[in-house]
Amino acid sequence: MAPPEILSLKGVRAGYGEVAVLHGIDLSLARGETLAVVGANGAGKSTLLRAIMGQIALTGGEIAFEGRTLARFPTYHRTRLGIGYAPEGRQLFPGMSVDENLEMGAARARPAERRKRIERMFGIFPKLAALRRTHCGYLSGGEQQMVAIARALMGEPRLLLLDEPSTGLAPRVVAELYASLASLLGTGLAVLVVEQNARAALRFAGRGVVFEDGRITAQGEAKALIADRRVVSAYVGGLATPEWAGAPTEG
Amino acid sequence: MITFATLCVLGLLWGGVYLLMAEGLNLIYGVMKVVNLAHGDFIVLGGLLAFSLFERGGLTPIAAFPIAAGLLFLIGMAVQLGVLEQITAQGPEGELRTLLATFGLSYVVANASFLLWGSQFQSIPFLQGAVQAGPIAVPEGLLVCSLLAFGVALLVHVWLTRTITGKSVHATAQSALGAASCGLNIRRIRTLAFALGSAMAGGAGALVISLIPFQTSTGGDLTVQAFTLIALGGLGNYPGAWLAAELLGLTEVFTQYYLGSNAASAVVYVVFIGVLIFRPQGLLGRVGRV
Ligand SMILES: Nc1ncnc2c1ncn2[C@@H]1O[C@H](COP(=O)(O)OP(=O)(O)OP(=O)(O)O)[C@@H](O)[C@H]1O
Ligand SMILES: [Mg+2]
Repeated sequence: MAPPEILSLKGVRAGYGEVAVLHGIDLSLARGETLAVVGANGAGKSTLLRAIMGQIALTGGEIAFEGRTLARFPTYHRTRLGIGYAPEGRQLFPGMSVDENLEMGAARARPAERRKRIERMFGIFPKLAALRRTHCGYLSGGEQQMVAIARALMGEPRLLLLDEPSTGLAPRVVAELYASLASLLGTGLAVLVVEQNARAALRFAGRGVVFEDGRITAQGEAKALIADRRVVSAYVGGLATPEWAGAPTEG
Repeated sequence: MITFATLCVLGLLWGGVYLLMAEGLNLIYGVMKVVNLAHGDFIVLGGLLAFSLFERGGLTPIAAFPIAAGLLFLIGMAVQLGVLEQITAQGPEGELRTLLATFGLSYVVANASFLLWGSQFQSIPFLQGAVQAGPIAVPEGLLVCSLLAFGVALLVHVWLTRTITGKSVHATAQSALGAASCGLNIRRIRTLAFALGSAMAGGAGALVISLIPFQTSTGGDLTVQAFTLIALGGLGNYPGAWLAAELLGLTEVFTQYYLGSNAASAVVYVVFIGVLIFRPQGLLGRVGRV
């Protein structure tokens, strides 16, 4: 039987050159689970995803996907193993159409299969269907984010990593985006979303983790975290300094 | 009138050869954004190789074409993997290092050619006759080379824009991280793109040397010419590159006929500078295109 854990991080340390950013992260995600990682600017949220995707090397610890350690796999190989990644800044192909962007997400699938998956994406993000021939460089921020997520889903991942999908989007669009994401759940897909917009992410996710200076300072059920005034006031409404350091950490 | 028509046909045919010269660079520079200063030296290397194949084995430029292209493909692969992929710096610093690396490469290739072939002008006598099309006499060699060049350029263009592997070259150039997140092996794609661009240069060389003689040091001129062509056509813009190649062919043939060969190269650059001033985005480029 496959291990129930789809992703596990043990004592992960990583950074950029001399600068250490992640200071020993322990984290695990079960099949079909949704996890929100929230934290202020520079807390190391994107760095965490980069480490999982092999964009930066670990200086310590271990990351395993479905029980297999990822250390020797380059980014593209991790995608092929079943991890979908919508990176910070979306990283679309601006000179290519929506269709072509999605196509690339399943470049290795057979053409008929690829077309089938693209149609499935238009079922999840109906707005994109009318834009399929439009170059992604001309899309609105919300539409671009939909393409980024849809492209990550084209490889039919079992784990989806999203880096701040709500950045630069109006609240209504954020709600729409998370509603689309919610429609994906229940099929066994696990989602790890990283957000400064703590409220939106915690409403979506089952479990939440609060990140501060490359450390996990609080974690628990998303509902409980969102109810915790200290967490929400620190990350919603732009308050930069969290006053709740020492918040209860649940196992 | 017949002279005019003949010159038009010659100019258009030359355009095909220029197109192949420029398209390899369009792939390497226009798409992959690598300023390859050795591109002209690759063309010369391909040409001189074809020359040796003719001299030693009696191979025609057409037969030498795939061999020259194949050799340059391998050289391109080696350069990408051994040199360009080793440059890990990003942004302007990475660009500068790449520029310096290809500058050095240009010397290495040119001097290697010099050691192997010396500095004399070389050429391959090939299909010296003419095909009579009504009143117009079209040189056979030019016709065959041009058609082959057009065909190959078109094939590569279709491959790049219609196949999933071709599109993944564009994707990798537009966002390497995006491409890797799609499960694409970006190192392999960049290597393929550089190798293919180099192969087109080598193949073009095999054809050009049968039309105009050249020597080791012609490489620099050819590099400039290829860069001018893609600047003129618009980076990564294939119809633009084709139009620019035709324009260059026509300009050169007409000025050569009416003003002589010294004036020809000057006029060509005047036209280029004019276009660069008035259409800096290239002939067909759109302003603000993403
Ligand atoms: N390429 C890099 N080189 C050096 N330092 C970096 C690099 N990228 C990020 N950092 C540093 O690492 C730390 C964590 O950055 P990271 O991008 O992970 O933060 P984040 O939590 O995603 O922030 P944001 O919410 O603003 O996206 C920051 O101090 C940042 O300055
Ligand atoms: Mg970030």
